[in-house]
Amino acid sequence: MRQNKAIIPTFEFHDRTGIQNYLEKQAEKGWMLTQLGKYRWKFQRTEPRKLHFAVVYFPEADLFDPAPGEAEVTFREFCAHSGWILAGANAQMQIFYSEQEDPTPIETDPLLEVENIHRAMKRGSLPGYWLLILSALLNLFVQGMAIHNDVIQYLSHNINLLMAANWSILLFLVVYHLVHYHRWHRKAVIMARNQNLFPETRSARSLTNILTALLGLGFLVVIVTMENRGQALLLILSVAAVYGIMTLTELVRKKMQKDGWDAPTNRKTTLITTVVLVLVLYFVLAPAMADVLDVDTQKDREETLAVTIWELLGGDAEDYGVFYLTDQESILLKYQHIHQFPEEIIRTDLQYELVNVKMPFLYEFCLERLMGVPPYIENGAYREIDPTPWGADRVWQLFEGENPRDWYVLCYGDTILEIIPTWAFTEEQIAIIAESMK
Amino acid sequence: MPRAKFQTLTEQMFYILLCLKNECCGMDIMDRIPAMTAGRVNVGSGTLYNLLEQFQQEGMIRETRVEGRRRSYILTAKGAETLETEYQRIRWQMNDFERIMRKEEGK
Repeated sequence: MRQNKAIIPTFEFHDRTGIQNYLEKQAEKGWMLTQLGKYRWKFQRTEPRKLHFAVVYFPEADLFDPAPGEAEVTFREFCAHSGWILAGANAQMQIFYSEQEDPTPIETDPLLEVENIHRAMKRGSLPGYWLLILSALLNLFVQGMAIHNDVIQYLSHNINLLMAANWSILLFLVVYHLVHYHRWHRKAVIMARNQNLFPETRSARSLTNILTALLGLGFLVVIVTMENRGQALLLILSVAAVYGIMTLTELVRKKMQKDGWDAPTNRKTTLITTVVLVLVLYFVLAPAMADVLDVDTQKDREETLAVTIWELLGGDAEDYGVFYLTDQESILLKYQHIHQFPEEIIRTDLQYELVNVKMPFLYEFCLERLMGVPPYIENGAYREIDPTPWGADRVWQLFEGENPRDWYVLCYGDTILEIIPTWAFTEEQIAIIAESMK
Repeated sequence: MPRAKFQTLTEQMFYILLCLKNECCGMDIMDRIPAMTAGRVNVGSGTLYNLLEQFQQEGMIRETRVEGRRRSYILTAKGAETLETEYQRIRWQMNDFERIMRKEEGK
């Protein structure tokens, strides 16, 4: 039988009723709280006991304090005097338990208690919530800009999708918690003033758990479906690195706390450590890992080309250059934007964009995007032409007024190909494309 | 409409101030109030700690002695005046009750 266990607390900071009830149930089951960490609460197996727990808030306490201040110790002594034993503390949150059958609660004035919780929230969670909202909005803005620039490119990258989902869920959760808290606080002030009562608190734990599980599931789906194993490993390592940074900064904070550094120095050092580690991750580790894990060779990549210029113009692959402007795949789309050109001949090249649509609802949207007429083409419009020579389901050609251009959009099942040569395709070349796209 | 701070006192505030007519430390107050009220009124340790801090900030009590972390306080003139005002308020309530309820019963 295991003697210790740990949980990731998903309680809202102000949820003193929910936390008390949870800890009392745990004690009845024989699990006693031994450590109240920032990310983990630890429990130890004991005799099942009926205990009373009290979650109280000491707004002046600081997460970076080397030791509880004099006022905090006095406060704890007051509590000890009335039979309340400290079970654990984390910054402003202090958890006590009492073995007495009917102990006098630590807080006996609802209005004072509500004011206390609000002061602790203002020093701890509320600024954190606003910071998270700001970060989420900033990140979603960046994602929005990327969508605005090239939606197909955006949708064809799993990490983009994961980031968008991640930040959206985080934003939703934080806003939900913020609104939830303010609604409770408003009600609590009125009840405490008018009825001398403390309204029970509760956390949206199920919602938090469901959304976290959704994020985890999304991450797993992305990892499993990523064809590029190197990129999948890179993604796993990136997430592990984020957790690594969190763990390292927490270790720095704890070590400085243990060594007796004052709170401002500890806070500054921890912040600097976080910033340095994040910079190292993004600018040193991530590119290095990407280089190491980029296992595709040029030959492997050439095999993924839908249409090759050397098949159309003749010669060997070595005689031609290939720019892989984009070559990526997500759970929604596979997207290639390729530029091919002969090494020796100038002003001859072939560009194509290929979109393989995995989710049918995106097909029309992608087709519409690929059939966008560039603004530099006057009176440009696509006209449908006979698809038979191309072996395609449907084919459109771009016209500039009444003049046809060598610019085609072809549909093959769930694949759309936009192909732009700098020369006029011959019938043989069209047949080669038809064969390649089979 | 929110009431001004300490314009009226809660029962707990009243008894804390009453205890401090004579010099007294925080933990003693916690024991004296139930004894004084035959267990009818209990002040939680957190509430007491916060109220002592607030009374001191408002100048209603002052610190008299510090022995380690044991701090003793005593009522100031302002605190005594607040207590007196509260007493008068309770008396008016009592008088009004007597006048209205007892008079009706006597009819």
